[in-house]
Amino acid sequence: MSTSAIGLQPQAGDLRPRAGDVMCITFLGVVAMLFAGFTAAYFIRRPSPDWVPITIPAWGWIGTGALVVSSTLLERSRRRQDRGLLWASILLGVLFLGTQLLSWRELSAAGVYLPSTPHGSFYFMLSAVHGVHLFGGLLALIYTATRRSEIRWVAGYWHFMGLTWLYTLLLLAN
Amino acid sequence: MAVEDHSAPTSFVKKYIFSQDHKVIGLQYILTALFMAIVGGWLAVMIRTQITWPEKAMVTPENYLSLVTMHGTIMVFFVVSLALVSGLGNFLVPLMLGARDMAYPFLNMLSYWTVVPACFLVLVSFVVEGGAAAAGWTAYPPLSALPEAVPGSGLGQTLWLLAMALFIASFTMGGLNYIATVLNCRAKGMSLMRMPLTVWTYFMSAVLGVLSFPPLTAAAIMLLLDRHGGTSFFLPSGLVFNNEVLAHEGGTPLLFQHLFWFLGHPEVYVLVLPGIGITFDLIASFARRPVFGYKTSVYALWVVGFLSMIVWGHHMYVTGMNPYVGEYFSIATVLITAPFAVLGMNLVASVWRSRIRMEVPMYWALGTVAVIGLGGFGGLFLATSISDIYFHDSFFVVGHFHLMIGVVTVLSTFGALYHWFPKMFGRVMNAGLGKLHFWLTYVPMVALFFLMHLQGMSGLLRRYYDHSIYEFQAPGRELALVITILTYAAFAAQAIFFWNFFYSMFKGVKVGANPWNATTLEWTAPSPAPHGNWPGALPVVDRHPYDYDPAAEEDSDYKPQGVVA
Ligand code: HEM
Repeated sequence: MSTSAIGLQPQAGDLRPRAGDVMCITFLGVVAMLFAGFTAAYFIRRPSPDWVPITIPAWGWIGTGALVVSSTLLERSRRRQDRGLLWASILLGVLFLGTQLLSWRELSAAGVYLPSTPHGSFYFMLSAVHGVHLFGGLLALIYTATRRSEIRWVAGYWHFMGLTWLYTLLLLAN
Repeated sequence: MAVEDHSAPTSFVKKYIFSQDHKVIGLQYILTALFMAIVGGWLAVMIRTQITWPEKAMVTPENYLSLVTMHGTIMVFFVVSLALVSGLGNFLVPLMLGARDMAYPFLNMLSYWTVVPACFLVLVSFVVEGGAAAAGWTAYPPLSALPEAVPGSGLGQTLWLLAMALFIASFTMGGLNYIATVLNCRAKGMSLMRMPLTVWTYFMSAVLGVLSFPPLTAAAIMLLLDRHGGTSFFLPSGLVFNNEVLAHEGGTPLLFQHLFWFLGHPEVYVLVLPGIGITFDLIASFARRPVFGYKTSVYALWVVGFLSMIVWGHHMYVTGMNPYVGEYFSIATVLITAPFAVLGMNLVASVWRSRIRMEVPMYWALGTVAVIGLGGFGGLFLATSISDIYFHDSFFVVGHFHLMIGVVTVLSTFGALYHWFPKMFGRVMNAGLGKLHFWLTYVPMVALFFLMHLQGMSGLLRRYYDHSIYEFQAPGRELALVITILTYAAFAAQAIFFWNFFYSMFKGVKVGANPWNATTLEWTAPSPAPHGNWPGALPVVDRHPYDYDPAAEEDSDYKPQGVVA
């Protein structure tokens, strides 16, 4: 049975959204709610007396830069149909995960481990949760690059993961 | 187009095991849930037996908590969620929308096969060292956060968390799929305001699930880190264990409660709303009239959905919250009664003075309506913070929530199974046995949970393995024996259903495509519906879903919602 026989192909004049768009936006909603949950926890936990603030690792900011460049390259590659740029964007994503590991090293070198202070716990946890989600996006990008499948939704997710990291970092830094 | 296509399966494995057909997946969910229901029901029997004859000490106090925890967890997440939301939803939504399948069949299969290992972990946790989780279905820390707290806090709790993680992943995939299917795969002419109310409620339920599960996931991640990473998100300072002060400090168990109930409350609506939607559809089919107030019902659903997400604090009145916050939660909760009353009144008005045909599904539908009223009434006392402070953690609460998430959901699930059985297998279930099953389930279940309210009023507390050691609980114990006998009766009566279900699957009376003369689209497909649901072209919708004419002759009083060219 072909897709059109299944009745899922939009017909002319059809105003329904594309299924991929619905799926992508709803999934972004899921991830947003996950981070909203963590945000609530962060603000409830912060006033307690054992909250010793940590300095945000420099590698965290450097990684943010890598994601910004990666997203820019991704958009460029879409506009120019340039797969070289796509791979460059993927590479920057991998680099970002590297900077996250370095930022953990930086923290532990300063004597901050997962249980040391709640602020540190939040940093480790949120960067890990974000890292796992970003890694999923990375796999999707690689899949798209090798299979040459449609990039629209993967790109949306990728930008969203970049924004989420920026948001997380600003949350942790203030 | 991202939406995947799949051809008719040829091998046995692809057809019945790793199937991507929504009807097969729906049945897989239902059968899995029926199996888990036997386990969950058996746990209820054990719970009742223990608290009725505590002197026999059938189980230890820790084991009693495990029984209660696992009964609640299994019933909420692995019976009602699987049968009503994932199972019937999968079966019904594409058929009622006039679609060939769900938007993402592969994802659908994946979501079923993610929940199977979750069920397995839940079952295995009974036999691991220390036994199953014992921190309640709500998994409150510190009991759930300290592996050394009670035997069940060890491996049992870890398995509980893993099972829940898999369940949440599966349920989220399912929710995404429902949303994409409803927005995307409707037949020609099926505008949103022409969708049967069943589909509307599944849509609302998916939206709520997708929005409210992620914060619980966040809480579960923090709980895992508290358990295994030494953090103190939820663990306060100064906890003493084995005469040693634990290193944790500064955490707050209340944070977990907030995150839990931010999911927990909408989850109730995730379960109850599809039950209400199904009841609307059953009532329309057997009252032979368009449902009353279709549009107001849809709007009421949206209001209920929205309000359900901002009332979670009514589970936490006794946590010492600021009285103004408590007042806010009270008012918001009481507000829900307004849209709920709209739904209830529309249900009642739909049957009012109609030419009712008392077929088996209609018994269950009318029963559901009655219980919505009864359960909702108890809710008023719990919504008001002042009275809840007395009722909190008593059997009043147990009685109340069972009526809503236990009885409403179970009755509507049974009604749906009797109603759509012909669409699943091309045969009907035996009507006499169906009615017998109804009375033997309905009367004991409603009675026993009603009596629990009375127990709660007299001060009997929940989650106690032996009430007899407290003098103040003696009055509440008087009803225990009656309730337990009713429990045994309700449990035993399910044998009738199981026999009827499996016997009729192979030997039931064969019927045509539309045995109930109902209007919604699924009845225009053959029974059982083939792969792709309609052998030829898809139906084209040209009217609202409930076009019954009360004035017309019987058998010609309905017009199907769509025509198959
Ligand atoms: C005949 C059927 C059932 C009986 C007799 C029954 C009985 C009970 C009893 C006596 C308790 C409280 C035990 C205690 O607190 O000491 C309980 C708890 C509970 N039940 Fe049921 N139950 C039944 C069906 C269901 C169903 C269908 C659901 C579905 C949602 C359900 C969900 C729960 C939950 C969530 C709890 C709370 C567990 C906790 O305290 O952590 N039960 N049940």
